[in-house]
Amino acid sequence: MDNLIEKYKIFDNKGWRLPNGIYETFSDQPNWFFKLGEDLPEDKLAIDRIDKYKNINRKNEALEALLELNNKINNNIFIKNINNGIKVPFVINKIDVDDIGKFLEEILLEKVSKAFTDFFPESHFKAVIQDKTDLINKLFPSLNSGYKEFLNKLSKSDICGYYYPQVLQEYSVDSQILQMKELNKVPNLCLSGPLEVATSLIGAPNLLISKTHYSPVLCLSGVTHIDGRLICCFKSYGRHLEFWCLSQMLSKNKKQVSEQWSGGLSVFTEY
Amino acid sequence: MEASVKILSKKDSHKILSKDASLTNEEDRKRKDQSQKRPRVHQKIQNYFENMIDGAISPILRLKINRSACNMKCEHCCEEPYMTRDLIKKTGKKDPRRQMDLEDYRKLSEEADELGLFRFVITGGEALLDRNLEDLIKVLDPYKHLIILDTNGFYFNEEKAKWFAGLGGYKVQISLDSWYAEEHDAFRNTKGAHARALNAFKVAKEAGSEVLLSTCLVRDRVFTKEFQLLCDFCETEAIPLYVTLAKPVGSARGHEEWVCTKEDVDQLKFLEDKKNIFTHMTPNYGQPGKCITVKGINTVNHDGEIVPCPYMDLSIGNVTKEPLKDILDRGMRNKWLGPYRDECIIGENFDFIKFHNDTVAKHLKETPYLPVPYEKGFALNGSV
Ligand code: SF4
Repeated sequence: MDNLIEKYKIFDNKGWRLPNGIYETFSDQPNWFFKLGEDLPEDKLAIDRIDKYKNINRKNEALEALLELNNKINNNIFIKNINNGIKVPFVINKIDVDDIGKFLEEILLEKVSKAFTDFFPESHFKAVIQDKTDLINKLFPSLNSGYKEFLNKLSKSDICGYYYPQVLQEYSVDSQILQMKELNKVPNLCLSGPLEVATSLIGAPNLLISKTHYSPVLCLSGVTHIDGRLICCFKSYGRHLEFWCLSQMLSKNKKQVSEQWSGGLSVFTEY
Repeated sequence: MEASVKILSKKDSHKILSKDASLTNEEDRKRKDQSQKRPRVHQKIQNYFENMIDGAISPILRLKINRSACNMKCEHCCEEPYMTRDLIKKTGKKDPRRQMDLEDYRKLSEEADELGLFRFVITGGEALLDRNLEDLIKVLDPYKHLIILDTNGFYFNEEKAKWFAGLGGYKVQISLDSWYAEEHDAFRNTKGAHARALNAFKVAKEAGSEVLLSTCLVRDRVFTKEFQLLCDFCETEAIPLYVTLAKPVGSARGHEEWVCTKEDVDQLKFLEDKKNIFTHMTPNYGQPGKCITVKGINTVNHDGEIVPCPYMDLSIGNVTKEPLKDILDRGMRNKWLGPYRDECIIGENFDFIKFHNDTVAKHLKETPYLPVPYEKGFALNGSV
């Protein structure tokens, strides 16, 4: 049995997705120069903050559901290691999102901005797109990423869960998406995208801010831009928080494989 | 004074800035200005914007000329090991390697133009000591490229200011290490250096050149009264303040106490919103703030070796021996240099600093001549 678990080990002891020589990563084993997680709020505090900006339905039930979800993850021998990494809770009220870009641009970013600048009044939140357009009708669930299923479930029920922002640190964006092929049989798990990452940042506005360390760039690879050269991400700039829709091209024929870029996984439950 | 990063008002801060809107008013003004004065430069900037999403880069080429001869002897200078005076002390003779000549620079200018590059910084030592400076500016072609002159200002008087502007020079970058005259002069080991630098700003502006004040930040300086006074001067005189950060290399090696911490860097990023102050890592031309090895500034050593950051002593190839394009492509594929990263690797990443300094130390045991050639340095890193 132990051999079997070892053979199918998905995450290492730090909760990093093992690339098994198949996926394109910056190194075989991160040295974690880019870090998160100084003074992150407890689940309850994070949920209270989300509630302040997004009015959560049935907050106490959400907290109970999160506790139960956490236990379930710990009892699943194949994925329990994911809990060894940093995780941030999120709660999202039932909603039917038919245009992810529009929802992000017109609703979510405003809330992230407000939560962040309330927490750090001296800092700025800035959103930039390296294109002459906007995000409306430009973002779609990435193939096999589980994001479509996540949105489907969200259209029918309130959802809560955990965002694991560093699981796919150092993975190229293509490999972040590709590795989901092996995981898409796991129910209620998806590659992280704008809705729950933005919500997690509302709950933990200091996620990317540190006095001593640089933090990873959080790629929202659960969604793909219609221009395959562009990706969306949140990043810090000193004590500031920024959203960028920027090029992932290192050169005309080669995409970034960066030590700093990180994809996340989200594990969720309806409640 | 307008800030060097465009910030939307708090109420609107979530709104998305398009690539064009993310230019500061100043960047926008300069871009429009180029369309009239230097149409070729304007065209190259436009092309760069068009191709940016394909990963196109358009770095500055920083030319170290005249064997880095200098009239000053600054405490923090990383150029000393390249200077003839230092080499004579160590070996009894000047650098025997072939030096770039005007023909090499003409070829480099053409190659740069073909690649869409549009900026040359001419530096030393003190560039104004070079008797061939006028010929160099002409072969670089000030109407195809923006020519930026790096100077300590000591010899940059009214006559020189008119001469530089008349040649089509674009910008004068003058160094000032402290707002306090005694401190600056002592740092530079040159009496009167501060007063001459202040005059250089005045005459450069009067001659119609763009100006910029360049200052080197050591640890904690960003929090001092002196730095505040320097910022005030820049604000009153409408001079952009360009900040470089002391690195644990060159003569600062062994002076860990000079090296800035993340707290210093974060404070600067914070000031960028309030003042016209920036580093070479500040977001510009629609790009996020990040380390700009290969992508932002490449130094061309006297012998043609290309160094991908102003503070490093490791080369990515020699432009007198192979095409610039191949060298830049190679640099972009290097694991340390190409991929996106926010931190300054030569100032803040101790793995890189160790690799760099150990490689340089090993090389200096064999030869006194820097930079370390590609094969013995960066070639040892992996590629992406
Ligand atoms: S290593 Fe530092 S100094 Fe060099 S290019 Fe990067 S940020 Fe600039």
